[in-house]
Amino acid sequence: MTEKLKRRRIRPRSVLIHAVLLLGTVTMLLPFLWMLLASFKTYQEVMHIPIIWLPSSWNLDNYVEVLGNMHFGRYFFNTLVVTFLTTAIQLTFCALTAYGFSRLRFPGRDAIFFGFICLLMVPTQMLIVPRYIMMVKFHWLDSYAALIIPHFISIYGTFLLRQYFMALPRDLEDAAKIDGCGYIQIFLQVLMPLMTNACLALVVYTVVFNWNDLLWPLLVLNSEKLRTLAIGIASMRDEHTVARHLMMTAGVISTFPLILVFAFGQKKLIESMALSGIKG
Amino acid sequence: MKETTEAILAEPAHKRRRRKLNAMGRREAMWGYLFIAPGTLGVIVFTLIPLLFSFVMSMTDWSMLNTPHFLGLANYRELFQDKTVRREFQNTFLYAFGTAPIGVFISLVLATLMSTKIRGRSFYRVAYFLPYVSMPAAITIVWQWMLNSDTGIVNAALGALGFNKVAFMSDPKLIMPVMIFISIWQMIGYNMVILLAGLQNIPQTYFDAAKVDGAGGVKQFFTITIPIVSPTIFFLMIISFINSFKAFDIVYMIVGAHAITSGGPLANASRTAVYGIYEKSFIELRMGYAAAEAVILFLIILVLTFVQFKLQNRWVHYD
Amino acid sequence: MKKILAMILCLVTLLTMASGCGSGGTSGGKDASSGSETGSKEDTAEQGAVEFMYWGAEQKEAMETIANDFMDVHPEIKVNLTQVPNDQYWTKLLTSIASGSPCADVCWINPSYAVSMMNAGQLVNVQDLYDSKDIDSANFVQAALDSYTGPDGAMYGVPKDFQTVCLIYNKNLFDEANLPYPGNDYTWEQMLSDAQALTKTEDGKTVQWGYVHNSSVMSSWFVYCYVNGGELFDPDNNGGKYIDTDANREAFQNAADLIFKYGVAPDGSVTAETTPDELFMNNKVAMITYVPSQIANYVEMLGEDAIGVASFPYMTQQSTISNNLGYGIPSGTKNLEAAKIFLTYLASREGQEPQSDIIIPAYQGITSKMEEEYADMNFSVYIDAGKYAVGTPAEAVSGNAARQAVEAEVQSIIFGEKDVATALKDAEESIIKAVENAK
Repeated sequence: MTEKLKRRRIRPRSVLIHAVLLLGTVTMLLPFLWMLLASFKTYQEVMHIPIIWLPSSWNLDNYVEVLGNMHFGRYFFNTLVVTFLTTAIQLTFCALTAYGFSRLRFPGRDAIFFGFICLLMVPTQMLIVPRYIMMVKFHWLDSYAALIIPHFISIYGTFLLRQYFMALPRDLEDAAKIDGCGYIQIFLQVLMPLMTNACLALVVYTVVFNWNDLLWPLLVLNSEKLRTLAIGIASMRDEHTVARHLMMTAGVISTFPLILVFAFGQKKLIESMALSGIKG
Repeated sequence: MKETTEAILAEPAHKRRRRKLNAMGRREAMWGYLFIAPGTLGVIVFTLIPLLFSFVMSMTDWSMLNTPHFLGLANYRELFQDKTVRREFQNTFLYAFGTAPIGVFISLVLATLMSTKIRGRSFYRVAYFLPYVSMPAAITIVWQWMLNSDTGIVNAALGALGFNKVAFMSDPKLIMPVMIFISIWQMIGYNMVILLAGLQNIPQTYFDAAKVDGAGGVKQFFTITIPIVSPTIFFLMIISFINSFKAFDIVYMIVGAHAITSGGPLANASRTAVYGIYEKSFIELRMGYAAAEAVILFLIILVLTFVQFKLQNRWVHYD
Repeated sequence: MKKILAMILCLVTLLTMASGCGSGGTSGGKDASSGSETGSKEDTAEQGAVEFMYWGAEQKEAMETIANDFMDVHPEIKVNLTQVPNDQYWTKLLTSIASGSPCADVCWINPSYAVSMMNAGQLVNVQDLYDSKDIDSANFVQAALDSYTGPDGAMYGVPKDFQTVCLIYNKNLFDEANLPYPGNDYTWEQMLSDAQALTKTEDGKTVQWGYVHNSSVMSSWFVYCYVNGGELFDPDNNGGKYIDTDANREAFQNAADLIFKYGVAPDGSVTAETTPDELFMNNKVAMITYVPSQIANYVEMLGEDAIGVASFPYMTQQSTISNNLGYGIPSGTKNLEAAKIFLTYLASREGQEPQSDIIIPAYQGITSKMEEEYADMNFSVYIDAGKYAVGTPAEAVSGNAARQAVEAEVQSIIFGEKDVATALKDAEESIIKAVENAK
């Protein structure tokens, strides 16, 4: 009897919940769908009133134009390389630094770390001009160095990994010390293997940040052959004649790679981000 | 007592600290410094020094093209009298207070809905998360188009439902709500995923007990859910506020669309402090002046964060 | 241990590859693997390559042709082109010059920025090229040469093109409304009456406008002042005012009336969502005022037969602005010799001719291909306008700030936020303030 009641009570409620969630899902996903459809349309179709929903022909003309003539193929490659390198380097140094802050004792450790935390709140705007000048002085303007090196260490990343390190059990470490392992060995062979979740969380964050970064690359890059996708997109709206259909194509090229990665790797990736929030 | 690692670790912390560093301790300290050295150097070079430089720069009239003159607090005085700057900060506050509380609240509601035993939870989780990973510049131009009066599907839908068209992108009164909307749209997924994880930690027994007491869903939400995940909510609020004070990409695409004509009511209604600083630095080339505005922005963020920390005693429950 | 080594090896390889991709495609593998991740300019300087920077994306083909032709004649000098959107162009150029290593060896310049750059010593003095007759000033209109003559009387640049602002109209829409095409003596009143006939409404909403104000004030609002006998940014000749004079106020009012009194031009809320260019290209607007370089785009969208050119509608006197872009060498360039050789080429007939597909070259005597191709459009108006065109207003002292101030006020006007008198008063104040700041 209670079971029947339970089922009847749950149904309308869950229908309502599904309705709300689905409405939200549509709002979340509609722009991507619309962007994708537009990337196959011609300029006339895109500007037409009333709205044309489906393209008349599904050809890749826009993609050829954007990837080739408008150099987005090159931009894609650049963004890929920069994101990969920055993430790899940042992960390395954040892990090293976080390990130092969490598992090793030395005078001034907590004071220095507190300094890190304070600096976390500094808005980027206070930093871009001085950093820009540094790039000028080091002759790194218009090079990958300007994009990668200032980001080789991230305070947020260090903070995040430190939390995870601190949560690891000490016994393994103690055992390793007794065995005579040096700190590097402990770091590499004992602790890091336990940090995959943490590293994944940081990797996700860093990849998303760097892939989509606009302001800094916009300032320090100049040559067309070094530009990233974000710059490409931002530059498109500068021209007098806004080629909307091509802008949408560029949008697809810039967003769908990450979207696809997340859609397919979602379980592991999203979960790791979730836990990072808790630890944070 | 032999000075083995075990023994030292066994001692209580305060006693450990007062011990002088012996050979082992010194070795550990050396390694400690070694491990944090590159990172700390990086932070000093790329964050601390620029910060100090910024403070100094804010008191000069430097424009990168001239030799700087020390102005004392003249830049700050000018800032307080500058109507555009006042508007910029107004917009920034609107943007931050519009985005952070509403965004976190919506994420909380969504996360709560999703934590009930409904099917397709993984699907929803991904769907809501996708906007977070997409390039703000790109999705801004899509939304700009979707909200276009003539060629946008939102107005087409409104028209089909019998409503009047709304000039989302060209009404100075609506441009800020649009920016807030896009910003919330992007952040919901991230917040929601984090809250979901937190919600899953709430023991079902709490809810069962509440049900027995006769509490409905909404009441349970306010009396059980919110207090228990309040640390996470607090964390998200801080992060969301800080991020919205720092937000650039969306603002750039919207204000910058009118940057051919960098003034006018639309630009004035959408220009936040962060964009204003960028404009003053790299378009007007008044770096000293811009730095002063950045310092003020920083101070505001500090104060707000501090206030939030103080207020947390009122509503955040830690166990 | 092995894992770390592998990782480091990976990173190093990638870094090397990255710096290879990063530092100038021209330098080839050897230079790249020297491990330096320095900018392209350093590498190319060693090989005598020239970095050539410009902003007009629509002129990309012309620029590429010129560069390729040059490299055929001078195989030892490589020219690298970079197109930078106008938004970022001046920032990048000026800040890089200030830092001591300019991001270009040769670049486009325009008269307004040229004045402030010459005053600040940011352009290289190229008088020697003129003296030695490598560049023959007889080939260029005096007004164009004046734009790039510094305060010391020396030449700091080479004229590139000759762009006057004229009226471009949609023949199809005129045919529909049974109106005669505008000619070379088009008055403001005629334009207004035509615009009224060309404006269509449906259910109380305008679906077609007769006229639209170009979003670039240089092609619209500035010219309105001149065709009403006004003067801009020249307080010495303008009663001590930069912009707020009776003639200018009247001109601005006439323009604003098109929107608010006669409803023949769209207001700010429309142009904010659909740019004036887009409106014209989608048959929503019958008339727009612009320089020749945009015609190619319009032709692509509407077809050659649909476009016509007429003189700028004038209020009291026929006038227009002639915006002559130029080429210059930023000071501090590490590659002066090669840059000068390229600059000389750019001033020659061969260097100027490829532009004529898209714009009127500054070099006199080159029949612009556009003139032949677009003869049916009455394209020659653009050239004839040179007789009465004035040079770009020298918003010199404040660089770009004066123009930005006017742009901001124009936005307020077309949104209906401010009336013309207030807007111009505020513009005057902003310009005075900007001039002060620039000192």
